[in-house]
Amino acid sequence: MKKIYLDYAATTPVDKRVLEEMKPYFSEKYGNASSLHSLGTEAKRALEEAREKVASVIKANPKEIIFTSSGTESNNTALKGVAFANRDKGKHIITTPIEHDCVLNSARWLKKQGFDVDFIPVDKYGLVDLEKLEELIRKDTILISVMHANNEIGTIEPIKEIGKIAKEHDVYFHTDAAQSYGKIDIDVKKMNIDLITANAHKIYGPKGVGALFIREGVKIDPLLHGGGHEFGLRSSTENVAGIVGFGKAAEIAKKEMRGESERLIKLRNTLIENILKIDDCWLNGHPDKRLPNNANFSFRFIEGESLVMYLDMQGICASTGSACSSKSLEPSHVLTAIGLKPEEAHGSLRLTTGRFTTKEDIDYVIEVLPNVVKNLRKLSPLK
Amino acid sequence: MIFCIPCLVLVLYFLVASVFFPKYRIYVKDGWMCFIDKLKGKDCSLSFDNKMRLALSVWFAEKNMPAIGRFIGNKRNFTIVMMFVGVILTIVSVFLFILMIKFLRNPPCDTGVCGL
Repeated sequence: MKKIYLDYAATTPVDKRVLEEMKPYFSEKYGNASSLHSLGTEAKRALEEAREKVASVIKANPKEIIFTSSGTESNNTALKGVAFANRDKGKHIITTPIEHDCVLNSARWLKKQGFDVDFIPVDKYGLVDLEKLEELIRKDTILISVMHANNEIGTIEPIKEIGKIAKEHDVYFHTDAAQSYGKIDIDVKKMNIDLITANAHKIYGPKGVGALFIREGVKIDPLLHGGGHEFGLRSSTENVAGIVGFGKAAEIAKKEMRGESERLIKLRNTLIENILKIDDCWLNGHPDKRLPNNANFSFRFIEGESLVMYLDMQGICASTGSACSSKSLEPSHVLTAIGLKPEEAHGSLRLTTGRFTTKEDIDYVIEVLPNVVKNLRKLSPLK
Repeated sequence: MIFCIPCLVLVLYFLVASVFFPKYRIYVKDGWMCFIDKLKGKDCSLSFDNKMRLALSVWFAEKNMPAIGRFIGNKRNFTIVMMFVGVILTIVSVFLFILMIKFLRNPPCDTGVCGL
């Protein structure tokens, strides 16, 4: 049975072009980028070229990009690094309740270390309340962290406005752009972003590589101490093959962004339009300000895990929410933050399209899903 | 460890079913891996047992027997039913095996029992 993959928000397959670019760096050009010999300098050159490509997607200076192992590491570095480097200036951090777990848990850990953490309320679409944000800012606020686009419901936050507010109050602004990097336009200067997280495996690059943009002048402590790699901010022998892959993936994403975005919006809208015809079903997240490839629905009287399993048996790979949190039995913190009751949050389905999704895939899902929902509702004790 | 029996029953079912319907062959492999996991006292790594439980309960729902579907949909009920089926199948198989040995030693037609 052909598998239809609709979980691109969790991860993406490595593009063949990316894989070809990476291959030499495993067994031919395998030098350590810190070595002085020719194999080392060759690896170093490849690393710096990748850095330029990754930086160009967000119109940043390459020297402001450090490579990490993942989006999680980048987010940890951003929050903890800024917090500890600036604790003489203040101890207050502001974030949102719909952030990825790695941001929320970093913030909770910082709270245990003596920092104050406040959460900006979000509305029913997951949009941050800008007025409340301004009210929360104090003299000792050192960091605002708001994700660019939510990984579960796809809502795109007004980060340009948030960046402006942060700049007016002389507060660092970090945004987790793991879901939006390479998919929608980001300009770190125009948006007044001080730190931005990206990772490769969301844009058809390899897993195990992330990036963190740190604007020149931002005071930040490293998470990893050692040989002083990545401008002293992330010591560790660089994953050259992975970084080269990230660079290639970024280059392709930048080149194909506009056309791909339009195509994905059409597919997404077809999906949304048809699935909303099912009774007792609604769309989560903002109807317009959402990622081109994200559609998140809630179905009454259904348990999301059963829905995902049943769809899997029909050849459709989807998810209920964040893959990172899929083992937990708790309802999605994002859906509860936007006001859904626990039983409604449990009945959610996230469908995210990507580069290899076709119209035929979408048509198949539209054909299969209503029957799946109907049969599961027959079994529901809630109906 | 004993909870591996439901997976074993499913493996046997799919072994027979895959002879007539090749599309079920993958379930033999998945079921076997699940059986080994459960034999070791671990959770089924491929969620094969959960998928089969869901498939069976949905089948009852499609046949307009949602109450049975809901009953089977409960993890504990599914395990008990499959273990019960496993025990019955074992008893029936052993009985038929003993009967076969008996008839091989004393074919019924030779003693005039079958009336031919």
